[in-house]
Amino acid sequence: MATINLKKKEIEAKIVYYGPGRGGKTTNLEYIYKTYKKQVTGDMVSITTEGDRTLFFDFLPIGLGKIRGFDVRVSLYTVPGQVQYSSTRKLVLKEVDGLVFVADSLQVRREKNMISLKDMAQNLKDYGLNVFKVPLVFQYNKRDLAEEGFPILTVEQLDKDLNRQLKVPSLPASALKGDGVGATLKECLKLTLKSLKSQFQEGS
Amino acid sequence: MNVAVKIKTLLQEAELYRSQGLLKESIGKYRAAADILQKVDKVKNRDAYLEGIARKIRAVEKELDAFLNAPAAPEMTAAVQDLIKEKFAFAKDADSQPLEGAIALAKFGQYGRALEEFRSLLAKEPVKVAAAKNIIRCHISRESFDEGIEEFRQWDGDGLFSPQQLENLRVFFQGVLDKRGIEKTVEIAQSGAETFQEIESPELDLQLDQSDAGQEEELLDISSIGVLMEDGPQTGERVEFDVSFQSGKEISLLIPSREKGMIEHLRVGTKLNDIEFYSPFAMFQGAGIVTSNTKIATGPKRGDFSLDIKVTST
Ligand SMILES: Nc1nc2c(ncn2[C@@H]2O[C@H](COP(=O)(O)OP(=O)(O)O)[C@@H](O)[C@H]2O)c(=O)[nH]1
Ligand SMILES: [Mg+2]
Repeated sequence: MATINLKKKEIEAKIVYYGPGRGGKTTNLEYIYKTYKKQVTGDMVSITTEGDRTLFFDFLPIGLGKIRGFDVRVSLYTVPGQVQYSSTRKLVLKEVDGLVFVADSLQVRREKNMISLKDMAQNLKDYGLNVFKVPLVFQYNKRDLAEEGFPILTVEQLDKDLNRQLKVPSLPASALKGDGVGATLKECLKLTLKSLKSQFQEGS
Repeated sequence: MNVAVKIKTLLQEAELYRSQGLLKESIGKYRAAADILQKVDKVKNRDAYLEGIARKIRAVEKELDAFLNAPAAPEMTAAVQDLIKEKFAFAKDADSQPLEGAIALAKFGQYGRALEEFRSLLAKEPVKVAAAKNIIRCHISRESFDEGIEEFRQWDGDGLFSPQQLENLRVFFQGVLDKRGIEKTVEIAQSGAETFQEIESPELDLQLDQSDAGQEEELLDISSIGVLMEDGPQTGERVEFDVSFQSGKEISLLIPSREKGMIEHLRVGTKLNDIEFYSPFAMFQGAGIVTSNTKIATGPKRGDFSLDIKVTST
């Protein structure tokens, strides 16, 4: 759960980019780091292993400025994709406030998307969170590969595979070029802040 | 599709996947290209092509190996360790928070730094036993058993813990060593452990994850639990049981028939207000309720008791 400090009028929220390995989570954060300099409040930390793969997580702190008098700070994280890191992946998910599921549009990764989504839902459940209730958006990444003629899934297929029941916002993107990266984050922030607001009102 | 185009397409895909680190997919496409190439007749320089593809496959396999053999948890910079310590400690109270941070460091394989943190927590009364247990766990994970035993001896000499706490820690340490099949003995130097009969009030309970109170929390994999008996012949003692099965918040224990005396005091509905849960990493405290207590009627464990406990809080 986010920390809300009434005295200091501060909100600290956590957004996690989840999804199959090599789907473009780190690339999303890198693009945000490069592009939204004004919002970025600290260095991006990437803990990588052989072949530049995320080992534990990436971390990027951003600030949204004042929203209704509250200073809103958000920590963005990515999880490692590889199966052998399931316990650290779960740890990164702890106390998450909002999620971006980065799906890989490549046809060869179709099954991996579904497995990863299932894994996410299970990990959330273990933390007492419900995938149907957590603020969540899908990003269908690597759309640019279609132009080069590579076999990718259509947005409709991806929606059918992943979003048939959840029915959350889904956005096409090309994280490498930056297309859709900001829109995805914005959508997720919107849902997250809305959810925090209602949690906060219930609690008070 | 024309065969040449098909092969070319496959090779392009293989290259793309390789560049994206999708190494298995890349190898798959190279192999598919080679298969097709092998089947068509009348290809000039077929062997040269095949050899070229085979070379590519070997190179990708090498990348895959390098990745698979990379250290699981390399030592991070101090800055990254600080970040882990800060960001993965969710407890709100001043004592549990640094403990949780140190546990996170250990979970991320930063044992050296975790040990430092746990050691500094030995000075904090409410968390010192938990810190000590986690120090033992770090040594077990690093397989630095002798160093661990040496450290335990120092605690013994320093008088850092009450005799009862020390005995608790000894039992705990020995238990993990035994479970791992490591033939080493942890001993307390001065004799007279038996003289500490009087029952201490349980140490101020450390409650990890307090911020999650009321919420369904994850239960880590639990290998064993220590129940503070509130009834029966062992009242006031912490009795350790191995967990035979765990599903969500339900854990099952197997209690040998020789412990029959205790079984009566663990009837269905009994509240266990002070349980220590030992998972491969964290040690945390909580409570539970006995939901079933049955005598096993058949099979090799006949006569033993199977006890289910629902964990009600951690
Ligand atoms: N063509 C293309 N490649 C991408 C895109 N996003 C990521 N990649 C590449 O996919 C690979 C894996 O990306 P990364 O961000 O490390 O994935 P992660 O494992 O989810 O963090 C890298 O080689 C990226 O350059 C994209 O939108 N288009
Ligand atoms: Mg990554």
